[in-house]
Amino acid sequence: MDGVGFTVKPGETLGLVGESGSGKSTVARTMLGLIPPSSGRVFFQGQEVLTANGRMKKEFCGKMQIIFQHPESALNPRMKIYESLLEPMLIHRQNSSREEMKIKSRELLQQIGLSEEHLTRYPHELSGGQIQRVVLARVLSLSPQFLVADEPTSMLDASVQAQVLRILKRIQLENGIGLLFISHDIEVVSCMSDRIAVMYKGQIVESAPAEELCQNPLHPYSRLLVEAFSSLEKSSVKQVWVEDEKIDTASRCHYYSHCPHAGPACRQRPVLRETGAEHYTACWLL
Amino acid sequence: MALLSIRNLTTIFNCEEGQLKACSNVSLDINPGQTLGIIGETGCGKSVLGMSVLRLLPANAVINGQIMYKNQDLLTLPDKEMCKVRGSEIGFLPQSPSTSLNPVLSIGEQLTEGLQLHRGMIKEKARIIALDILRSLGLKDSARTSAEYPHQLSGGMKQRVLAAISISGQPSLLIADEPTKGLDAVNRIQVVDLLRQLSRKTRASLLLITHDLKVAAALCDEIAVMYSGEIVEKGPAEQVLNNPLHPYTQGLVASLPERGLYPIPGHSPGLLDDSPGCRFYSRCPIGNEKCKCQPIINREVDGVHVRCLYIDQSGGAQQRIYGRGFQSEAG
Repeated sequence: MDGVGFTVKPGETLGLVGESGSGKSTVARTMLGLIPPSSGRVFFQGQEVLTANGRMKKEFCGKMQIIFQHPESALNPRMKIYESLLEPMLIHRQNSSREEMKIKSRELLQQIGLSEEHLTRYPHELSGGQIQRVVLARVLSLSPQFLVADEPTSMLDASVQAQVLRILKRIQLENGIGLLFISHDIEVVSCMSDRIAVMYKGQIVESAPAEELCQNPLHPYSRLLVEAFSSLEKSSVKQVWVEDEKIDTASRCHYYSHCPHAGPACRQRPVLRETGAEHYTACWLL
Repeated sequence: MALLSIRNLTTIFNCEEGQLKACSNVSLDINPGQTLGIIGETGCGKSVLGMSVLRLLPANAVINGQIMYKNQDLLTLPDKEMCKVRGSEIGFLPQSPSTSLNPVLSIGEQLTEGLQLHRGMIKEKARIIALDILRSLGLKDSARTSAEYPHQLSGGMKQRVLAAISISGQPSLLIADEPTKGLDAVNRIQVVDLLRQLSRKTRASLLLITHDLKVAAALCDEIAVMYSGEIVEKGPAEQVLNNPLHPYTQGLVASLPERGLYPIPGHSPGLLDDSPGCRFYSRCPIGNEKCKCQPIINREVDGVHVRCLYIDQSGGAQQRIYGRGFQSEAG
């Protein structure tokens, strides 16, 4: 990860796209303090997150939540669903009595479209889509204000994906949650997000309002991504491979070796510049 | 004359919980050089269908019906004969490149093994041919690749190596099981390209098993939609995807992000359930009592076979069943 910066407003969705290994998940984990960054800071409601400790840290943990890619490994296989749902509430003690918590977990289950019979089951008895919904319910039990969804549906079928995404969107809008939505599927991201940031090799190379980015991608890599989805038929998308050993790989543009337009200017790493209304791109050639 | 023709294929697994019907009464044809796509959700039995053709299922599976390949019934072939069919007549491209290669053998060894076995080559000749195949699939430095081990290759390269292995026996039919599962956009395109290359170069027929409708649209001549062990719709790819008739296919298409992410409500009934009627009944927006009790037969509308009572010549079920805009409903 290299010089990544962005903001998410309450109720807003920021979509983060990029190929496997581009650092999307690292961003998510670092923001929540799961991986210590080499340098840099994260603010939540004006307060610094990463240096917080004790009670503050616990409070942040409740307000900032994450949904992981593999739902099966997010739930403890030896706990029944209701135990998994109660655990975060017990730790954070937002509701006073156990009875209240039980009532709340039933409400949550209803919100995500599962019935009470699911409460006494084990994770292996549920399907992938159902588990992901339980995970969503558990996250919501703490009424978070910021949520990271790290490839929440990449392991699910199209129809189940649509179900889960709809629930996520509804809940987000109802509760005004700020959402960071991470995926490699730019179509899904564009359905979910207000803004989209494109990541490549640990750097944000372009960031723009969702519609703008899908219709008018400026960075060569974003263009490749958008085209890769629209034109599977023509197979017109080809990545080039130029390798110029003389140029120091540490300082040149990350996309240099794949970029069809790379020129002398690209030997220095570009930074994000404003290239349109609310549209930022890290490329020298614009 | 079809290369592979499957008739009334039923695959049942005997489990503790009862009989699990993973494929019921599946009939399909693949012509030489044609690409047939099987699409459907996880657990609908599409991989079992592929494995039934290769007879690579666990011992508790019972396969009934007929699988005619080049005028012989694969299901009645003795095991020894079947071994000769696998690899040299029917190739298989498995789903996860990272776990399908043997980690302790070099690429070259894994590739020459098939050549020696299926084409009776001596080791030296096999080595030369192996390099040729690798090169033809775009691995330029084939000598280096063949000396490397799977962990030294990227995901895309592994996929190419697997493709090389699957065509090394010069099969006339290739079965590809979810070749694009879990790949990102750029890699997905590369795999689609690779499959296109394969079918052009080898002129082999391709049975493509996938849940990715876009990949199916890009590669297939014909598409069969599978739901809960049954083929519910089958026809020319374009027609099935652009003008789906069966309510399930309509739902599948509507749940794509570009069509607005409309989910199909409910869950599939599970393969243990053995009620006589339409398997999609519980989720179907247009179904009624009739669908629940009587077996549904295939009917043909303009070259498309559909398993639904409410499809008539005028396309009775064609009303768009799936609803409102994504953002507006969420709000």
